[in-house]
Amino acid sequence: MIVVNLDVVMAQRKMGLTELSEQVDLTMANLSILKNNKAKAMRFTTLDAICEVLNCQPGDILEYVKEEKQGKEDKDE
Amino acid sequence: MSRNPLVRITKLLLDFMFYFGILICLTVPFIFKVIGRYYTIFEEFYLPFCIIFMVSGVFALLLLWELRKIFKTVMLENPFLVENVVSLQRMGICSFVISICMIFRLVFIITPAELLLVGVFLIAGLFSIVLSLVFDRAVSYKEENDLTI
Repeated sequence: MIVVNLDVVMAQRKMGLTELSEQVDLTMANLSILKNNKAKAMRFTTLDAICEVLNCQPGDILEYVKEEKQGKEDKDE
Repeated sequence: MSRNPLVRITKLLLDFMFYFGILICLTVPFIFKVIGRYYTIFEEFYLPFCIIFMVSGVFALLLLWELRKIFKTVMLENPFLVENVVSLQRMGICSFVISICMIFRLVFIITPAELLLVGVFLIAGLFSIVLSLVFDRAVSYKEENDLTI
């Protein structure tokens, strides 16, 4: 699964959610969805804006983590 | 809240139909007694007609109740909800039950209007079920769109 490490990068840059939402032009609600890993997809434009504001690479924000639960289920099958 | 007058008028019409329907449904035995004076068939099959019409009346009211619930969400401009999918499925079932009630009535009297009613409610039920499937897809698309940042 893809994990969004937005909170980590934000903490490194010492930037709050309100400030980021104003600079990226996203609502706080949408940014919270993204930060809490509830989002199903992310637009390139959003990623571009976040990377520009936080001065980072997409890889700093997005991370692929192997799901262990699914692996266990596959073994059971 | 929707400002579309058509939606508001339809909602008012549904409200009127629902409350008037309750009144009609409750007074079916009395109405059939009166009608029985002019049409002998209602006097002859008074009890079965009362039962058939009251049962179909109750299901028609349930159908209207679900439709009102859907319209409330339309007025709030948020109709793509799982609740509406369930409502459409229930409306379909109600239509089928009404259709079955009308088929039972055919045992006592066969008229073109009766046959038409059976067909109309059968098709309405099918449409409602198909619409619920379409709505289900729309709900999942909306959810995906809402969660695309």
